[in-house]
Amino acid sequence: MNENRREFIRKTGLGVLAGLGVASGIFHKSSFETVLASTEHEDEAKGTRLGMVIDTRKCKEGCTKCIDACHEVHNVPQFDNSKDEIKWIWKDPYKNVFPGESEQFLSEETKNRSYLALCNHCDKPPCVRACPTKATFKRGWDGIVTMDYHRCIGCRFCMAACPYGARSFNWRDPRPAIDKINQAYPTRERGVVEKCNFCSERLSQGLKPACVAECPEGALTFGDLNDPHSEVRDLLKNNHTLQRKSELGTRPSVFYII
Amino acid sequence: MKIKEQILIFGGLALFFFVVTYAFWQEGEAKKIRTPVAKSSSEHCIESREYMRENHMLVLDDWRKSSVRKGDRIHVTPDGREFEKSLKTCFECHGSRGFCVNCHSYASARPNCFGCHQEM
Repeated sequence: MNENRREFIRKTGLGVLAGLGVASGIFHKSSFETVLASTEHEDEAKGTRLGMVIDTRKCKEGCTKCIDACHEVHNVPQFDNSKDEIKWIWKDPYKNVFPGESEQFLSEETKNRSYLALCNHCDKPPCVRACPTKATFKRGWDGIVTMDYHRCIGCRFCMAACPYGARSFNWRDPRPAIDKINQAYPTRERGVVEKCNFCSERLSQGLKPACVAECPEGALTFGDLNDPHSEVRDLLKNNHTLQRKSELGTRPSVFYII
Repeated sequence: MKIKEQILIFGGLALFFFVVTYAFWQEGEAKKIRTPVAKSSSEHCIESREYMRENHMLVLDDWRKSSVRKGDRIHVTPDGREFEKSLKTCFECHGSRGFCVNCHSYASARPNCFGCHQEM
């Protein structure tokens, strides 16, 4: 009798294990572990996806009008110490902006020029996945990756997650380091992360982003990447463009014409 | 026990109870604070004065959530008036942060809005 019961339990256990194994094979999508790591760049055009095309051929060396305009509009502080630096939009050399691209036999001109860098407002933003409080989120209606500073707890996970260094942490109180405070836009506080917001406050008033509006060369073009007739899509159709670190699968919404 | 000691003990007890219950003997009212007044009459506000006194923090919280996270920047009052969801809208009538500080400092509840926001 005892012998039988033991045998029964043993067989049932084996049966359950075998069943689970088969189930994991058949229902591979519904349960167990799934990994999200898509690097393919399929075109799923759903809703609006705001993006930018930067024509680096038109961008003048030494000109910082877009940077100045952005920093003035958004009360971005200027710290002398680079460790305290707050960056929304900045210029960097080729090897820093496109570290994955080959530099072999590259023209001196291309190599030595500096390139505009800003938040890429990725279609698959890693900073949003890293944020434990959902302070950083992607706006469902236009694809802008933006921040709710009220919620930011300053953990800086997003800074570690962002492959573009587009986020800065306020180590110090920013207010004393702002030359002229723009009364129409809030400042930030010590202890929060901040970044480019694609001028969502200007967009809501029907204006273009400050950098785009301020560029005297017309090097920056802004628009809906999902609209096949938009200006940005025209530029993308007619020019060869680069995205920063496209191999990571973040699908940046900022494109560069080199 | 001597009478002297009894007087000392009961006198001490009486003094003790007097001191302990002293605060409850006082009759009076809570300190009055000067209520700040808006530049325009309360009919201009998004809700009645009573509602705003009790619920202004919930209104601000709701404005913050719906404007930042849903992009819905316009508040429509039950009688159809429209306001931009912004602290700027509040200060158009209520002047400056002094309006907030008056009551908040009395209640010892510090709003931390002005670490970032400006009063315009």
